[in-house]
Amino acid sequence: MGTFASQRSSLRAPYPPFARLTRALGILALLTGCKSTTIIDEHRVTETQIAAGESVVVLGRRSNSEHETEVDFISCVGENLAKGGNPIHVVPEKIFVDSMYPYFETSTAPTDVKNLERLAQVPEIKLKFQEFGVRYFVWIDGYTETVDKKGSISCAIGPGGGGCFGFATWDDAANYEASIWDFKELSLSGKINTETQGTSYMPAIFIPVPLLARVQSNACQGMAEQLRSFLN
Amino acid sequence: MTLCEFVIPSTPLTFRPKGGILPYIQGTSVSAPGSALPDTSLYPSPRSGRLRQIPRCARNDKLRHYRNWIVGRLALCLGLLALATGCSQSVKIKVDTEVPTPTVSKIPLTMGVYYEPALRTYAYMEDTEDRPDWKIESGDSQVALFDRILASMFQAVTPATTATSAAGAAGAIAPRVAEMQFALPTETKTELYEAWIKYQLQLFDSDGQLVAEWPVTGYGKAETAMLKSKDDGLSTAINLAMRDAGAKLALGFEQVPEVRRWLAQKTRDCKRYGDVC
Repeated sequence: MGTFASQRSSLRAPYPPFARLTRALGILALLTGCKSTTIIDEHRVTETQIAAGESVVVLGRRSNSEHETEVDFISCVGENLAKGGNPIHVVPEKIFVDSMYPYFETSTAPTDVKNLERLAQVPEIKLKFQEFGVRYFVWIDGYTETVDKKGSISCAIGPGGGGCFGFATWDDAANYEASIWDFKELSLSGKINTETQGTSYMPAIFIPVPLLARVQSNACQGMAEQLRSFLN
Repeated sequence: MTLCEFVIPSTPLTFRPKGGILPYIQGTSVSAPGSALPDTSLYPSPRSGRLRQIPRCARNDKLRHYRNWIVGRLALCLGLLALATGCSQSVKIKVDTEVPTPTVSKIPLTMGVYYEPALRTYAYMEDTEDRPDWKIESGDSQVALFDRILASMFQAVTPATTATSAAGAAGAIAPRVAEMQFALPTETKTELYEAWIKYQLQLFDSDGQLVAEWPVTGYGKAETAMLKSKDDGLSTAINLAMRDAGAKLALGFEQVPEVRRWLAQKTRDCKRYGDVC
């Protein structure tokens, strides 16, 4: 027993006290924090069933004056829909919007299904829709933002070196709503809403160690999974 | 302007320069001299930078200080450089916009296009207290934008030598930039770079008569992002504003009442322009 204790002591000796404190803070933060919770609501209007050879287009709404739906969130949802056990063919947003220029720009995109119906009467557009095999349009509106920040980290640099000290924490909230339009039926099929919240931590003893809650990523995965079950 | 000059020694120093704090030292890599040091060596002091003679017994500690001094100086220089470039207020951008080819049904006419020299060399310039030394050049992109949009709208497009003489064409279009505005995240307290552009377009008949004059506006915004500079943010916003203006021109041209009447008269297509035929 005594030997064991001495071995432990000798093992611990080389570690400076700061390293131990950093590790303790890191473990504490991992245990208590970096959690995110996602709430998903679904409102179904009509029955949906995507058939073989049909595609889905996932598009972002960017008409909000202060925020815009992130491009990487849209591509994340599309990529998640296109993989997994029951993959859906997704037309990438940029390819679709560029191909449909100038009808799907922020200021010219259809804002409801009736406008889509009018747009589908343009021969060139009708042909493009057929080429892509579009059955469902998924319009996503929302964004991720930091809603609260606490703590502080101070960093200093001098001739002898530099480092940071402190502890910061912040809360992120992601709120996205997807409207699903059925191009074949020219009707609103339903809506899916995801709300994700999470807290990130950053302890800093010499080096800041970010312990991030993957709020946007979790919202993306939640949205994609719900869309998959909605469309299948 | 040299912000910070830093020379890192790689070999022990055995001379003292006249009056200088840092001696002229060869090498650029941070490498502490090994154990094969001469009995007396000269190193810059970690605090003052002056050369000091180090006795053998204290050499290891001094070398550690010496290394720290180098790393500290380097970090300080990098920090100063980052501050100097990150806080710079000036903007120098050459806009490189490329819009997709519009999917619109072509108007069966040959149209002339006249780009005035002011459009071909258009540059937004501002030199105020808040925006010192701003220069955003977009002339080439303006011409490329109208070339792409008009070519997709008409059966054929020919360059015109003046706005009022479009030989072999039904008429001529002459665009010009009327206004360009920008907003920075620091000004609007949002996380967006914004650009707004207003064009004034004129349509002339083949005999040089002005048929219509109308504005086309475009708006673009780009979110701030880590490691994205002000120039990048503004460039993205301008590209989107020009793309938006191009879309509105392509979709709105036939909706301008005077233009619509003129098109009905020129094309005699009462199916397409039934409301004004």
